Amino acid sequence: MAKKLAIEVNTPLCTGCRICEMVCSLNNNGEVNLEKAKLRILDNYPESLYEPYICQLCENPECVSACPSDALTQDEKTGVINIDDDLCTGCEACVIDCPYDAIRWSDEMEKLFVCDRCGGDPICVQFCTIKALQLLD
Amino acid sequence: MTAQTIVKEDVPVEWRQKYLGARGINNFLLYSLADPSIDPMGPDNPFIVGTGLFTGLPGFGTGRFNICAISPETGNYGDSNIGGHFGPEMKYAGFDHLVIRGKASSPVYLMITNNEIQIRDAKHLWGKDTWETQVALKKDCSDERVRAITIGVAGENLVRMAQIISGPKDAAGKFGLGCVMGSKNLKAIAARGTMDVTFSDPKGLLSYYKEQTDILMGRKWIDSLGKLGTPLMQRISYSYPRYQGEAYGGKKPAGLDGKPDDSRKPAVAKREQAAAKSSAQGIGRVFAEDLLPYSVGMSACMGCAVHCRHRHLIKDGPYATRGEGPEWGMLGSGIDAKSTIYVADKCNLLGLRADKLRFAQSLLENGIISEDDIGYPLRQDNLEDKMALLEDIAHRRGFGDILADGSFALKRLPAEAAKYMPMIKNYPCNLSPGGVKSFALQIGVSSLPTHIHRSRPGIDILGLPQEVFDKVYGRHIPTDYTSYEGRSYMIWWHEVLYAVCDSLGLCRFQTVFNSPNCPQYAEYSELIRLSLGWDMPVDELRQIGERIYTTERLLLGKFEVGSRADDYPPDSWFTGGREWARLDKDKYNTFLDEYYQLHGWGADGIPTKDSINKLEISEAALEQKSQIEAL
Repeated sequence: MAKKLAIEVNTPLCTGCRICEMVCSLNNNGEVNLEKAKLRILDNYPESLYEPYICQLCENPECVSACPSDALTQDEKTGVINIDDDLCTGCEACVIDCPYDAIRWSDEMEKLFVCDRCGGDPICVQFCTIKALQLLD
Repeated sequence: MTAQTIVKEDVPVEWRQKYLGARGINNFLLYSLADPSIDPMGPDNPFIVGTGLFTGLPGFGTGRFNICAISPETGNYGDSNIGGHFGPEMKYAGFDHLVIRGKASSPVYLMITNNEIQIRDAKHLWGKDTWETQVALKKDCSDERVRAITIGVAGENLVRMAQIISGPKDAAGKFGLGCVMGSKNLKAIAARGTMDVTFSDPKGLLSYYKEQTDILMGRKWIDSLGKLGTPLMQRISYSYPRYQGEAYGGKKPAGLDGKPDDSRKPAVAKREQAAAKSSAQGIGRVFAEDLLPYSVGMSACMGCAVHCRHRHLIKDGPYATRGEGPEWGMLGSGIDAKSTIYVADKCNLLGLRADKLRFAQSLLENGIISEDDIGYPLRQDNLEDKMALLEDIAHRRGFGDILADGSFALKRLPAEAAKYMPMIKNYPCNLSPGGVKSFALQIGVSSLPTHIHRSRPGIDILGLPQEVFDKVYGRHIPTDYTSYEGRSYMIWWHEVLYAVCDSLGLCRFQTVFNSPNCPQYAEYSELIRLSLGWDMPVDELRQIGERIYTTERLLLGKFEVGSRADDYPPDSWFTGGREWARLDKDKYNTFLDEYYQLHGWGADGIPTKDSINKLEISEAALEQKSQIEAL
């Protein structure tokens, strides 16, 4: 499957500014709440290493295979993982199986979060001026 | 803290509209509560932490927040602008300002979560360095996203110039705010928030944020800052005019208009070569470029696209370390680039500034004290000596115990020691004016004693075209940085702008600081409109800036350091150094007259009743004091 919306992550470049998380939540929810961002920056304190975690649009995605309730599907054209919140039981099988730690369950929100590429022009990539996140052609 | 009680109140909208947040509201609260009879290290000292209106939100470098208290270093008012991630996390947890009073009976930390604050036992953290403490707090909460401000052993031991550290290196560095935390048995404040922050026009805000980020990142100053970090200022600030001065042979050449003079480049280069040579021998000036070999990338405060800090790694050898920074202010503390990085990290771990090393060396060099007093030599080219003294200061051991008293150490030293610790408003000032009149003048009058960034008109030394200056300031101000003309207006202008910038929780490096084109009032006004739906035009923001600055002046006045007599730099600035770089007393006095008028203060430097009434300061403060006392 062609990964038309593949994002390349260049971890050493990430500065930990978290603007990607901020604008992701603002763009998707109309408010700033980093818990609702569909990507995640992990901070290995005090090592000063920041690691972006974002869906890699796997071929044969393990999150989809792992889901016992068919809540996850992959868009055939873009590779984006779609979540049906009504079907999701919060079992976190997808979270456990994702090799990139890119799908996240929030106990507080009772909701799964995974990057949907903002319909083709990811806001995180637009704001990542240091290019730790880049959309591949 | 004494009674272990917590009271929560909404921040009144009127405060926001008068003082915005962070520095503005914090210092308004301190002005309302401060009393000169309060012991800075006693339980009654209000320790205040505050986020800006935009801290953690879309803006221009929004990791900034403010901490203030009565300073153990000066006995009067002190505040500090600090970056990183704690301020945003506190805001996400639903809190904007903390006013902490009293003293816990044993070490505690505060845990801030959504709409809740707990006072928790911190005995297991006491004695830990600032990094260990933060790691332990994350572990305690099983959440790597917990952010904290903390003190190291220096704060625990009530070292008067103890810092507060957050993350690897963010520091509330000056005025001994870490000592205030220590005096309250408050080891740390941790925060973790997951609450929604809503906006008036989210789509418009996102679009404006993108547009402004693109413009900002196109600025040359921002580009350099993102590559070299704040140490780049070592070359373009004090060093620049100093080298120019040396290149002139000590005389200011006729016709100098502030522009670099190519004919003097060889002399400047010669000076830099000499510095590089001594650096190779183990001692020397460290410039931003010298730090690059140890950088493994950049890092940023929350909400900052500029990323002005290095992530450094020294893999092995005696200076093996990893962390972030060092910042410009640390560049004189080591003996070369590697050791400077090492000292900076150690200071961050101890929660201590390194500036008393130079003072101790001056005392030794001039026979005021001997090696016997310290117990070991203090060789300029020996890092072990320096580290031993830093540790002794942090643990209040031996001679370090005397130095740990900061400016109050003079009471425990021979009288001649005072010559080596000149002061403004009780704060040590070992800076050199370097011939740039605006820098010297703003240090003299700064509402935060001696603070070099309170109104620093960094663009003064960039050799900008006259028309750029005219446009920025809206009037004619000569671009010759050795001139006094227009400097009163320039300093007042930057004071008011930075007061607004700080109170919004935005980064001062991302306004008209070292670039004439960075965001300022118009952009702030638009951010406020899109975020809050408030119509706060440029003139109103200027008025708020003036209110904040005048409130700080009144705060200084409470401690009897807020009048004309308190605004003079050390005598040596008028009498020492090369003639062209020296301050002229008559011209300085004229500067003060003009400067006070711009603020609406009297010739005695004290805000007039008329100004105070126009700015509506006093009544609000009185109301506030009674409100807080009632709580």
